[in-house]
Amino acid sequence: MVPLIERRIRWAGLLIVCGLVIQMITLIFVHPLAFMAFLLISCPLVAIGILLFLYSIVSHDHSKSESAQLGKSATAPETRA
Amino acid sequence: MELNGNTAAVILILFTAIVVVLGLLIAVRPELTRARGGKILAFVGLCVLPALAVWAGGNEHLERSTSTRFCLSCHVMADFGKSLYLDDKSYIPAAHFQNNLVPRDHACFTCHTDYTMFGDVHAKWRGLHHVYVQYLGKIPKPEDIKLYTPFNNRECLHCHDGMRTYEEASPHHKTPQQLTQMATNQLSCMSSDCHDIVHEVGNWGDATFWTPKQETK
Repeated sequence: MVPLIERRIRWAGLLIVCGLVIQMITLIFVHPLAFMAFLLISCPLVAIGILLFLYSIVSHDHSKSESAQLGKSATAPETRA
Repeated sequence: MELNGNTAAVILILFTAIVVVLGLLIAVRPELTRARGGKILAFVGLCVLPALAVWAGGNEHLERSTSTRFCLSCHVMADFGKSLYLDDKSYIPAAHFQNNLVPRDHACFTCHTDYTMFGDVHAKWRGLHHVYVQYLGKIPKPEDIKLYTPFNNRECLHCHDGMRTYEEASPHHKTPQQLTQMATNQLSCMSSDCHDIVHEVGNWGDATFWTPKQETK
């Protein structure tokens, strides 16, 4: 199962990629609608992506993941045995 | 494609493409972030570089929004663009445009922004209102388009203040206090029967138009 932090990072990455792709398209045209698309779609998508990424970092409980890793390594020899 | 000659935009698109590839890599393989190097890569690829790309994109879009081509991209503004080529120097915008008194690439913005601390922000806000009217509101006829407020002398004096031709011109010395009155906007440059012939869309009659030599080649 994919850990929560990695799922959040995946979503953050996808949002940022979507926003930047739209930005690339808008940069091709010199038109008010391109400017509006950049302002109303691209910027919010990238901003949400960055915020989600930062949130995923700060909300990640390192002690849990470390203990989980320790638990895994502690049980590993037993399972082998 | 409207990128001809715009090197900055091409570079920005390439940079954005690189950031997209990096973002996609992290999105597809989030397990990379388990390692220390992956964490740094994720921070740069999902935080620093996207923020930089959007900041640069915003700058580029803001710069473009001051261009004459941008202003004239709505059909209703076409006649205003045409008025810049009127072959009659009594038309103030045409005289300024044709004699390079304003940069031709930014002709509209040069005269119609406010030269104040937040003038550009106000200009952009008015621009957003124009976009709303263009796509969601009732588009007026070109000849019905008027300024929101009377043209402020400040915008003229941004360039003309201190100019010898402006300060020594005899029409500007009809009274001793005339220059002061113009500087304080008490006497309008535009609406005091002095320089009141502007775009005059719809009232051109049988006017002729100037064709720049570079365009005839």
